[in-house]
Amino acid sequence: MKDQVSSGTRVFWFSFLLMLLIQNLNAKAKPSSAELIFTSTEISVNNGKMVTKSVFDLLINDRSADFLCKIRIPYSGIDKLVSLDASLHNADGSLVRKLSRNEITSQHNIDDYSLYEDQFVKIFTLRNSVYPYRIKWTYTIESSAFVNICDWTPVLMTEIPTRRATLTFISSEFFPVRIDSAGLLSTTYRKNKDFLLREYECEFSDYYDEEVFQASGTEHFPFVRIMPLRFHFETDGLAYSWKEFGLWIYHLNKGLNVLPKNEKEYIRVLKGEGLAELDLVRKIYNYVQDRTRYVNVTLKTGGLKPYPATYVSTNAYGDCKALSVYLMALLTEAGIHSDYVLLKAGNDEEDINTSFVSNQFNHAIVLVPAKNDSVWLDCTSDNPFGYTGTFIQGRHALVIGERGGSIVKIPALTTDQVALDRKGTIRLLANLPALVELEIEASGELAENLRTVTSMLDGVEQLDIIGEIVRVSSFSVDSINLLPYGRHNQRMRLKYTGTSNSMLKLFGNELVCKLIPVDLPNFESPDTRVTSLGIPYPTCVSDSILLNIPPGYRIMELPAGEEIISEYGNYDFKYSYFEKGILFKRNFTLNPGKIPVENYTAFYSFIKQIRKIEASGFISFSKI
Amino acid sequence: MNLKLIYLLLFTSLIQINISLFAQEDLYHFGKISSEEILYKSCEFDKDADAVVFFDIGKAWFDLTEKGFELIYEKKARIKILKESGVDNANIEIPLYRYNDIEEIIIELEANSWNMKDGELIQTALGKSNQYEARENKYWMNYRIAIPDVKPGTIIEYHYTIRSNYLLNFRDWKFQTNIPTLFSSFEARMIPFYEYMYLLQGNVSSVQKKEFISSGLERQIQQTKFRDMVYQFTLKNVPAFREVDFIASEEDYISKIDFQLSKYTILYGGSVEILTTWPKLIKELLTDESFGKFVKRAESQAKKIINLDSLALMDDMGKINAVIATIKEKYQWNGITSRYASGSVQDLIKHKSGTSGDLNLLGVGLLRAAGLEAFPVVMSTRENGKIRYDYPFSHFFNYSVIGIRSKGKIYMVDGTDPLLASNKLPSRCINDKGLVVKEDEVTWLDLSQNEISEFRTMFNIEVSADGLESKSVVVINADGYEARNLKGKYGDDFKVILRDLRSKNYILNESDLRCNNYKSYSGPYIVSFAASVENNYSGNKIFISPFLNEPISENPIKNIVRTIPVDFIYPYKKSFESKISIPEGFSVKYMPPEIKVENENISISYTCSTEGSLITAKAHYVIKKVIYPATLYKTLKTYHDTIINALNDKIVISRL
Repeated sequence: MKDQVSSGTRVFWFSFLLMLLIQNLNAKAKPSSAELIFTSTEISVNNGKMVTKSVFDLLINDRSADFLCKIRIPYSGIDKLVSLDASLHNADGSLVRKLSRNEITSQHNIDDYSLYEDQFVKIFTLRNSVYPYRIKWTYTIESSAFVNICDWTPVLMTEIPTRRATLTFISSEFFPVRIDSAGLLSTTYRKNKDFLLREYECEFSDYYDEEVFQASGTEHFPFVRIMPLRFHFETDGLAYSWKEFGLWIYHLNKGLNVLPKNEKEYIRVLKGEGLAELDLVRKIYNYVQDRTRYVNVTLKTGGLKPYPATYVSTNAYGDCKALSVYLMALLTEAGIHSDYVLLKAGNDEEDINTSFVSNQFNHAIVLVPAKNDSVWLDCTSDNPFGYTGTFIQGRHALVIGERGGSIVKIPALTTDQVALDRKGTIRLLANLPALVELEIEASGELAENLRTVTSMLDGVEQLDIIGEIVRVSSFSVDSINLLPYGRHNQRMRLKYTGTSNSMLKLFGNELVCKLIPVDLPNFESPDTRVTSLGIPYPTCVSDSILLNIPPGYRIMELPAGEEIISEYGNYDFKYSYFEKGILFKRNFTLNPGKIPVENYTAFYSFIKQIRKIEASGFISFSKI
Repeated sequence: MNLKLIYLLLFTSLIQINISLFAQEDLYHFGKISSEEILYKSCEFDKDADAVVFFDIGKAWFDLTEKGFELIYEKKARIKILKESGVDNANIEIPLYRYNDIEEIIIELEANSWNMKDGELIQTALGKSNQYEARENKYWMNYRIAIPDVKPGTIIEYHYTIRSNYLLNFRDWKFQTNIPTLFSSFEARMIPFYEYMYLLQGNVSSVQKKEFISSGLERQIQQTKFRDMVYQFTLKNVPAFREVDFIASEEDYISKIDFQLSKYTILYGGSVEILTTWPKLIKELLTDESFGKFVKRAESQAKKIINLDSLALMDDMGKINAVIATIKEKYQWNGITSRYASGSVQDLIKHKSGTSGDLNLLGVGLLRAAGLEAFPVVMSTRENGKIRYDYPFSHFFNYSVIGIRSKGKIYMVDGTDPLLASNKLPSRCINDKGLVVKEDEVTWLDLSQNEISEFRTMFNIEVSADGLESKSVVVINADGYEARNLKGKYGDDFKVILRDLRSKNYILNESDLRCNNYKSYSGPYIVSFAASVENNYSGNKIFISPFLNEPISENPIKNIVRTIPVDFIYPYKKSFESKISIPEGFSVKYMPPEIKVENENISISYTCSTEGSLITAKAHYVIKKVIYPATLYKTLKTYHDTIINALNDKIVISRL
């Protein structure tokens, strides 16, 4: 036993000294385990057909990058794969072997959230056991119909540098396009007989990790986006302006809003109830929410054209586009005007580039315009009527009507709409776990998550996840009781009881109580932060908790109240002392908005101040 | 009584009149919904259930076609959706094997949803546009359907028939799923030409069994007249299976029936034994092109792959390590588990990538060429479930590892995982026992890995002069499976490690981080970093976490009830040793109390001492066993609470 201890200690000090030794060496950048030596994409558009030829030359430096030797090439019914060749090479480029046909497998390429998509993928593996080695592959895709020409970002994976990448776009000089690009080394235009060759070159090596609240648009991948200004996809379309692009979508959707008899009858009966217009809209929206479920099936048109209202009416399911079309058909039947809206939704998704007219969207919702309070309705969510959830709030959207499209901004969530209020008591007894009883009123993302969990999961699992969502630091959940809430209420209410072994600790004769901390993200220190901050919506937490004084003890130390008022938000807390208890009140607000990286130090100092206050937020009790 | 209630009662009685016409067996008729089913609100023995299976009835029989016998599977099920979270049960996937000449095809499919609307029971049928077939991979298709018009309260039912010439794979029947089932029944109609054995597991004693000769018309093939032999299995009120943590595979525990082809008769004479004896099975493997013969070819071609002269200079352990390292360096596992090789040795040499069978059978050949007594050991992975030793079926085995006998000791190794030490089997292989494939020998080898894997964390903490910051050097030293897990988590990527450490509130930069032995097959994996952590304080008191944010803070044992054993895969030890120097002008106010728990199941220890301005805190806990009985579940939970509380306890220092 003695030997073991001493050998363990030796190892420790050896490792420690080793650490000190290597600490003094200049840190060398770890070489990339793989490099994309070269990639080229050549796109030619002629007579309404688009042919895209892609070439890759990938260098694998060590075995940790071996997973890259499994190559996947996606294609579809519209984007047909017409050729595929691949070969394995030594680092110097000498051929090891060519890929044979029977090494390629084909299968469907269906996203997890979809029931079915007519998307496919060819898969092959080329690997060598001597490092480094190179995999070269080339393939050609012919597209019979297209809306975008390309959204070219020659980055295989963010951690893998691209040494040289070229894009060549060949089209008639009279073929009108809009081009957006960034991070390029060179751009060249050449004329060749009747064709115009646009050539772009770039490289990529400067990868940095995703940062907390990273503002959208701060990624620095090189890219070229090309959009045809005239195209034919199901029907002729123009993209000179959002108005025209919206008009194309309007025509794509035209005629999809036919309802079967029973649905018309339902609306007729509903109208007979003599509801005010807004209440009628609410009732129809709730009907769609209750009747339908989300099921995505993508066929033929690559998911651009929605399924008709009859499809949803029959199946009681559909994707966001189909459900929106269905809701609009019901509203139209009720004599209420509504508009189809496209946007790029998602907390992690960058907003659309409004100056680049193109199909940048991933979600469809419905707008019911009104003079004062227009209503935005997301048919895929369980959210209350008119609540613009975190998934869609504050984003630009293309509103589509018979006169075409127009860009508008979906209202951002207000402080009130994201508020989290926790009220309750904490029961403190020396030598026993602390017991907390809280009534939590949540809105914003927390309420959305609670709504989703209650609808998606059943009993045991539901309780587990809700416990995670409303996590009260240092407490383990004993029970959670969701209180009845109206479906129109943006807030969720629940009763939480929990136990903590670590909140109250006896240190000698002193009892020390650590308060429930405010939940702050792990912001990077200013010396490492690279990108600007983009806080999409506010955070607003209010706590009002009554703690008893443990029997046999008296208050020895009570932290002084603090208040911070900053352009980035506010923080204050105070204790009120009563005969038998202490009332703890705390408010924290983090303002939304974009903070340039130059101002990050000031923002970080606001956060650090809060952390410092929280780090000293202890109450001490001494024995009477 | 209000109008609505009268209406409801009227409707209910109408339905009851209607339903009373049905005989008991009609309860399970497709397309006929009973009033009980309509009014059914929650499962009596599972109030949390979001859906319940009213009935799940399967049937399988042989059909004689021009191509010979084919298997017909028929299944009908009815499910009530009780909550919104149960709606997903209306999206159904039917896997179908389809590779070369073997194919399973759906020849009949219908499905309905039933909803009450305005007092009327509305049926919505599955249409063509609600069903799709997608290729999942080289061997499997997936038939996907989404039953229309489904919401809480909906009753769904589906019925399908599959025609299959994959006679070797008689589909199993699962009585139990993740939602409760009120009635589950399976009927297998067997013919004399194909003999199957069935294995029942789970709640076996409650399964009602019936066997009888079919009373239908006699069938005749050539001179043989026969009637089907009918086997019926029924299980009622089957609870949902939800115990998913700390188990090898739910396949080991759910109530199910598994059929195995044991013998078939060739119509034009002769028969083929599938279920034989272990010695015969071993013999077959040894003569199989993709098994025994592959090993022989690997042995004969060894010099193309490895330097045998160098190996000749090594001792046995050196040879094993060198061969495993060669396989891991030269060949990549393609993720497919197989007991057989998928192609020739030449194919493997050419493609540098292969199945687990390719890599490990090659390893056996190379070790033999190096002069060792090496042999394949066939086994079943954790995911594949446990082997039943009393039934010598080859299909139990889905994996081969390498066995070596040296100086009276047996070693088992595997060449698929480059992040794992050479002398360890991947955790997927730690599943009961494996069968040695060696002529004239039936030996089962225990696959459990009883050597304790250790995760040791050492800290050197210097508390700043004002006490508000702990400047620390942390060295994490992991071996065995703990090293494998950490390597898998970090993937030799400093950015991933940094992200993880920063998420634990450490303040550090990439230059403060070092990793050693990521690619080593023998040494421990070492991650070391220098970081600072802000200390909590109250007035004069500073709270120091001796092990910073490294110990677990959440109890992994979560459930209230456990009915099946708790499987930790391998035994492990987590140890912590911290040396904390406190600044001048401070004294120690509180140190965590000593803890000592030592028994056959677990070891927990915590000590803290001080010497001048240096505090030493040492702690460890050991999960000594791999599998604990369900009865110890609560005890394990309490032990983990003790561990969490002790390891996260604070040392308090205060200004003098």
